[in-house]
Amino acid sequence: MMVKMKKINILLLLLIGFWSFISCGKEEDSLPEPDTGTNNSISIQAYSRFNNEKLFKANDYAAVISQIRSKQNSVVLLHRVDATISSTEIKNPMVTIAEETVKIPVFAWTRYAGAQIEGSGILVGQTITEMKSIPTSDGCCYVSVPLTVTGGTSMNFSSITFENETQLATGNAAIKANLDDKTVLIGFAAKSLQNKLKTEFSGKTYRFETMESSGGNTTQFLFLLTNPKWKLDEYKETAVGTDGISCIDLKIEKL
Amino acid sequence: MGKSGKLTRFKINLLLIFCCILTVSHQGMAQSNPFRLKIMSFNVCRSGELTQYSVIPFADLIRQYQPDIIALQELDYMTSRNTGIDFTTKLAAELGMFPVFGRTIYYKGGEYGLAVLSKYPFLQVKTEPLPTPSDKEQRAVLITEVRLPTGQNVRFASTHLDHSSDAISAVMAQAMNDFLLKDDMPTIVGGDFNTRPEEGTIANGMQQWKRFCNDDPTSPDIPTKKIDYLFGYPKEKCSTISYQVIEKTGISDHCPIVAEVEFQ
Repeated sequence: MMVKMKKINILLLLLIGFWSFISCGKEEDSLPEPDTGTNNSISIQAYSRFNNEKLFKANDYAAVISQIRSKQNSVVLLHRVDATISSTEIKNPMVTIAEETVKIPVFAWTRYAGAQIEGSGILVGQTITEMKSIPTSDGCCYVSVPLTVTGGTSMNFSSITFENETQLATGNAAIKANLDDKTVLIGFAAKSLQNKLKTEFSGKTYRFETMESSGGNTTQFLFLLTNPKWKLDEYKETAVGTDGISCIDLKIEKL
Repeated sequence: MGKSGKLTRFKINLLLIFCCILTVSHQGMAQSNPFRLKIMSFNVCRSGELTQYSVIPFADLIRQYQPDIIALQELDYMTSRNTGIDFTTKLAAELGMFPVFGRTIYYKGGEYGLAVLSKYPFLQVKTEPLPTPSDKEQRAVLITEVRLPTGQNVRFASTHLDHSSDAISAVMAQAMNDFLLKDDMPTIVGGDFNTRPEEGTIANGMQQWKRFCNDDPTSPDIPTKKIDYLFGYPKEKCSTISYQVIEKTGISDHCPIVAEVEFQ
């Protein structure tokens, strides 16, 4: 009798163990794990056409939504995710994507161009308490959002886009005035400005990294600017959909 | 660097300074042009409790009135009460407006607080806590700066003051004034002030403001008391073009209030 009971108990334990193993597996399949990160590592995704054209030519955001959902990220930057405003309706792809991917949207305004509201979208996984945007010249704005990311790391996520040389002086001044230990700046700039920016942010005070898209017809590059307390671990480019959108996935680390 | 190089650099610097002066003076001119806005304030009653937490009836109502900027109160972010949804972003996505949520307290596994929705983008956002006695619910003011297509900036805030005593809400109003009345930028605050027009919070505390609304009651749905307000500043530079209390919506215990206003 005792031996039989023992066997049943062992069988039950094995069944419970097997069931727990199966159900854990299912959970992992359904959702990517949150970006809890280790060693202060932070993942940032930047979506762009790398030619200063608006991100969406049609109202189809499915490929970008799917890509955001499939990856761990602390911040998603949607470069030139312009809104369109008319007397009858407003189209705001940033907010639609934020709602679909369960993110908080922050719009980094650049300029009004007729019915278009040009700018970039910053999507984060937490509510914000503050955001500031400093217009530095026509069509150029420095934006900064304080965030608490992996492992409680404080980060001031910042962004700026340089289209031409006349924007550099005031834009660079705004960057320098705001850059501190917490700043992680992802910017876009015309390729013709690359050397000037490299010179401006050379030396021991800054860490300046550039990334280019391998796609054709690109006129811009992406840059990461921090102080030396941060470093770029790796980055990878992925084509998103078939319409010319690229995603650069950056892994950066607070040292 | 040669003499001609120095001269070129000097000319470039001069040009830059000239451009800066032009930009600043252009902004100054734009700021002084009159402009009109349609604004709304709406307490959505425990994040849509009367609509089973659906944003759709709120979006349908707001769409009818086409406000440019809206101050919202009593919104949940990912609480167990509202089935874990981000009410503000969902509502904004329905309307295509730019949203910002300002947390006042952590609540039921998520957050609870204020929001502003705008047709136009935000240049600045900040949630400022208001002085609150420790045994009362923490209150705050959500302050935004909105960039209009005309090149002007307008400061727009949403708030929800304490309901338990006029003395407490008066202190909150004073603190809010300290945050908002710091320069001559056109400024609007909308919200549920939880105090009647004759009480000190409004009668004295909001004296520096132009009241865009009248004394018609705003709460509950078939209203009997006036507690929701829209104010503008500087007082002498703004006026009400039209004002309406939208009664019997069936979706909240407050009536939304909507005004068309003009700033000189």
